[in-house]
Amino acid sequence: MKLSLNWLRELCPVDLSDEEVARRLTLAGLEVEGTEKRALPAGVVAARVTVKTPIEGSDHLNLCQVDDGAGVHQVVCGAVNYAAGDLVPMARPGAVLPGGKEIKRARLRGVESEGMLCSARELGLGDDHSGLLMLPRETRPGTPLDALLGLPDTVLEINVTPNRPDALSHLGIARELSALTGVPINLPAQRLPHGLVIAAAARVDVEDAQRCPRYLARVIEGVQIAPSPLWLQERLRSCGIRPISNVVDATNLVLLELGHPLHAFDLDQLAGARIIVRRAHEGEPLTTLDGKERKLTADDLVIADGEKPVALAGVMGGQTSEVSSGTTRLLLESAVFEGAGIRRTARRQALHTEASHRYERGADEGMAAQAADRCAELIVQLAGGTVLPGVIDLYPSPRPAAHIWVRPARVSAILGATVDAVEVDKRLRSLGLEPMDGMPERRLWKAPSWRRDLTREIDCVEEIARQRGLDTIPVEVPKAGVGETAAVPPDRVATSAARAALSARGFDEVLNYSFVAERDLDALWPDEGAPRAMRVANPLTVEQGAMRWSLLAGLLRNLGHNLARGARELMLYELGRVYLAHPDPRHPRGLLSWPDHEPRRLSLALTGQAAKRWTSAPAALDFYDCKGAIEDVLAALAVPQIEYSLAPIATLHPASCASLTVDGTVAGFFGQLHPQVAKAFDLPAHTFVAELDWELLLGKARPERKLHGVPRFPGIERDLAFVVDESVLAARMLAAIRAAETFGLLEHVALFDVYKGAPVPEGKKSIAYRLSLRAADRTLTDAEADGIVTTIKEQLREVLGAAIRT
Amino acid sequence: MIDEINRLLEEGKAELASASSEAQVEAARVKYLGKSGSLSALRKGMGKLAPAERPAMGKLVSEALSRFESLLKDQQHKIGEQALQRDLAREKLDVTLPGRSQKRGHRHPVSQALDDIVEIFARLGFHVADGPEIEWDLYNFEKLGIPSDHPARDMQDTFYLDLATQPEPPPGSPPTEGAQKQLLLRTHTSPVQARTMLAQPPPVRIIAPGKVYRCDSDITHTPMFHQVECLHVEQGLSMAHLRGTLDAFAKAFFGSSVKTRLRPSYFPFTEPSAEVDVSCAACGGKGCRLCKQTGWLEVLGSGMVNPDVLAGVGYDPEKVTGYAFGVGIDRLAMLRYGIDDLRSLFENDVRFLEQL
Ligand SMILES: [Zn+2]
Repeated sequence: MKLSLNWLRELCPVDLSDEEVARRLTLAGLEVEGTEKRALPAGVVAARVTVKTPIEGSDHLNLCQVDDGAGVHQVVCGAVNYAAGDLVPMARPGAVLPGGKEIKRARLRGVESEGMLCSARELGLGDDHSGLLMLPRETRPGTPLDALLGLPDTVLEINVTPNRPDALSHLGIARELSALTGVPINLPAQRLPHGLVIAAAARVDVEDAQRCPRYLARVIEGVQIAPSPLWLQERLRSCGIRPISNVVDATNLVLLELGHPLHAFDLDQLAGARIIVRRAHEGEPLTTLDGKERKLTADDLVIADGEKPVALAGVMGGQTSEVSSGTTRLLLESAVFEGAGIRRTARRQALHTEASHRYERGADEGMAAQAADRCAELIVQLAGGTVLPGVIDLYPSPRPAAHIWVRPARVSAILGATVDAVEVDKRLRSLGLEPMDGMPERRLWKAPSWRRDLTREIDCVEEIARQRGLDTIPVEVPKAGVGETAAVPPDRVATSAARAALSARGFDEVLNYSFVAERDLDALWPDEGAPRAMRVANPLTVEQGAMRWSLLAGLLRNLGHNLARGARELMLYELGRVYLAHPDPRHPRGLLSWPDHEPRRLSLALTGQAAKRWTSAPAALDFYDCKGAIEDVLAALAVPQIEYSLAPIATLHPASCASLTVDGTVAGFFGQLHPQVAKAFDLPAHTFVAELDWELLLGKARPERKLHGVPRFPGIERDLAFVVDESVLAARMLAAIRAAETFGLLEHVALFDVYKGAPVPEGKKSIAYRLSLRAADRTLTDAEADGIVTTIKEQLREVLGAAIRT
Repeated sequence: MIDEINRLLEEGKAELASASSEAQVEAARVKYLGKSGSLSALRKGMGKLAPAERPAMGKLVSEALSRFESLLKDQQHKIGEQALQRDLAREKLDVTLPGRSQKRGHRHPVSQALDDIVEIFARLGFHVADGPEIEWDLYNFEKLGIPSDHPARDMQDTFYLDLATQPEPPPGSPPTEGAQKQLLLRTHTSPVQARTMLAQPPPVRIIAPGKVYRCDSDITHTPMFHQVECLHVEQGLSMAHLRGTLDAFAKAFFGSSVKTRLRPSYFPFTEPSAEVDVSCAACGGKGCRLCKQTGWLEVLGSGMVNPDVLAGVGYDPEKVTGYAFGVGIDRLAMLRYGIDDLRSLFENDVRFLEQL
């Protein structure tokens, strides 16, 4: 909300600098988010145009003789909206206009010009640039424009939280400032005529008192519609409201001053001189003041006359009953509408107004009468006419004031600082609460009508905290109870270890949005049986329309993004959730159910060529880079019993795709991207990916290590190369080697070479292993080692037809 | 015989002295000490001497042999030394060439900051709790004191889910217009508060890190970002404990010279509520562009758990109190690493990522 400090100082005349006012409000929870200095340049004064003559050879320029109080000057002007005799702003030579333009004596079309006549926009007063700013005829030439407008002023932008509708006005902020400083509020009271005359002029019926708890109306006759005085226009402009006419401006001024929305109807345009507050009929049309024809629903509340809706209650007036230049009789509405209903209507109609903003948050029934009186008086001041004696006031069930028990001991306990009964009393009184009953240690307070947010003791605790300032609260670190500084949970240890392994291998971590383009998910699975993505109902873009069921959609886009920017070697990983459209098996149903299943996945994506290094030849990243990274991760987790096997899935190349099985459960897949998928993502064919089920792997991880000490006896190493059919899998050979040695002496087997080509026969390959043999309780002899090697050779020959390569 | 010994010794000495390679030394060794070497032969010739002469002569021969061996060793050593020096002088290495390098990977700044934050809270005695990102309206709003049609919903623009088959919402869910509005992307990590308290009696001392979502995208907003929720409910907790925890956290994350400031604010699920500012590290609190000249940076929202929230999960607000806060991790990461556009965090450009 925008707040004029000049205005605020009228209501609460504090002797504090602008900065100090802003600081105090901020520290009381009314956060000042911005400050705007409003001032007019020096040297801008009111001036009367005495003579206006067209300049020959120009179709729009006039030469004016202008009286600025100090003398008559000639000024060239291009505007058209004025005549001789009018008063307008003139910038004298030397004046610097907003934007930095300095006014100088100049020659235009060969004619001397000794200043400039200004529009509102040129003076930084608003957006209006349709012509010169017109000043009241009675203004004395030479009067500085500042004085006419009530400038300079400072306007604060205040972030008013939704619980504080009372602070959405100058009065509301003044009340706060008064409570903070003790300076009393200065608000003139109105005295308007009482009586019953109004009853003959208009009639009001409220059909839905739940949605409209109070409807109050006054009638004013004999008004003359005209522009508002400049000071009033400036007040509205400084708060971001466009001046329209004296009557409309008066309602807006009161809105800004007291925070209560008002609406003026042209009474002569109300059929039957009636107001009916009712629900709209389904589909009923209404053209609002913004010129839009709206279709209403049965949930919308309208103000109708004898025939039709004339306003969308609490949101915006309608065109038919709009105050226009010919209006003379007004019905002034000062009502209270139920917030939730206004909010539904405003959202449905996508119409957020000053009025709806306040009603949604809760209007003050107590303010309705005061605001109507203030506004009626102001209208008569500005537009003439008379207020008919009497008021129509439908308020069948007045809202009871909240009564709250407050215990100073409780206040102290919540704040962690001692707040005694005297202080509680002082602070609550300063906010307008009244003591009703009770003792110092437990007192009953009545909340003021404008503080609808105060209903419970805790609300008062907060008020007291705000008033005394949160910096008065001591700093105390809570002690951790026994067992609360427990060891780091195993899954965090494991996850850190895995991340370290990936970092060490050169993988960069990425974080993608959880929502991706649905077509990217579709492209990941160019086949039947693709998982179904959950859709976002209101995404910002279609690129963020579907919840990912795989991290690969994001990672593949990351590869593309970086390749397009010149990256040559890309190794990326992401560890994050995917979103699967079935209930989480850990929380399937009941009170604590999860709506979907959100397991974590660890996914890798790599492509390109390892960077050129002088120490090694560049090599294209391939399947085994991908598998190596997975093996490192699994080693970091100490996952036992891992098996890899060829397992086609739609995302991967049918020849280069593997699944990873832990204890017989599939824990992920990896391999080369299927050419179709690579093409869909515009990626090179040699792109490798992996996606691992992180929940499953963490469940299998054994992060706690047991050490076995240093071997006490020497071991023996033997290298063996076997020649086998090309089709024989390495895993099969390893299993056969292990199976052949039954005494537990084969400590380790390392595959160190795979070779195809001469002299190995066509269709065969040579695979070499280094066997590490060791006995735990004695020194192994060469003879024993020879025996083991012989057994292994024989077994492999028998089982796999392996020949020994020598 | 004595002459012979001396002659051979002198001869051998000279030969050794002139030997300039290991091979020449070895040749000299073979010539004098080998099986048929001339000095070795002297020992064999002993048999021809008279028995009386043998001891004295034997001693002389032994001395000559050991003398020669000693000279031989010296020469071998000397030549070895020379060879080593030659080799050392021959080897040339450019020590300024880069070492054998290995590509190093980089953590994502947000994930790194998140880990650090979890670590800090672990030290303060907080356990990690968890909740779904696709969340029921019940937990994201209702249980936190934000019913539908409440203006506080404007504070968080919400993404909703559009599901072919709608799962059954948990009991107690509010009736809403169209079942679709029951499921949303959580707008904060606060739903974990209600979930945790419903699942266990007090005391509760948790943090809940994770992704959250709001329909917003500009230089300081991304539609997805990260928060850590902190909740502590126990007997006798006050706002002083909130301040203490915040202060300890801020100092651990930003450094011990950082100051914190609480500013009253509003969140439906805490009361009293406060925004927390930390002193601007860029300018030391004097005011700069980053802190909009205020010297303070807003980093999180906090407060005492609203008694209605406690009552809503079956706790007795007269017996236990609590404090809670939610930290925007991405913003903390931005401040810590000096990142000026939040969106760059999710572009995943390696030229950005590899700076960490
Ligand atoms: Zn700063």
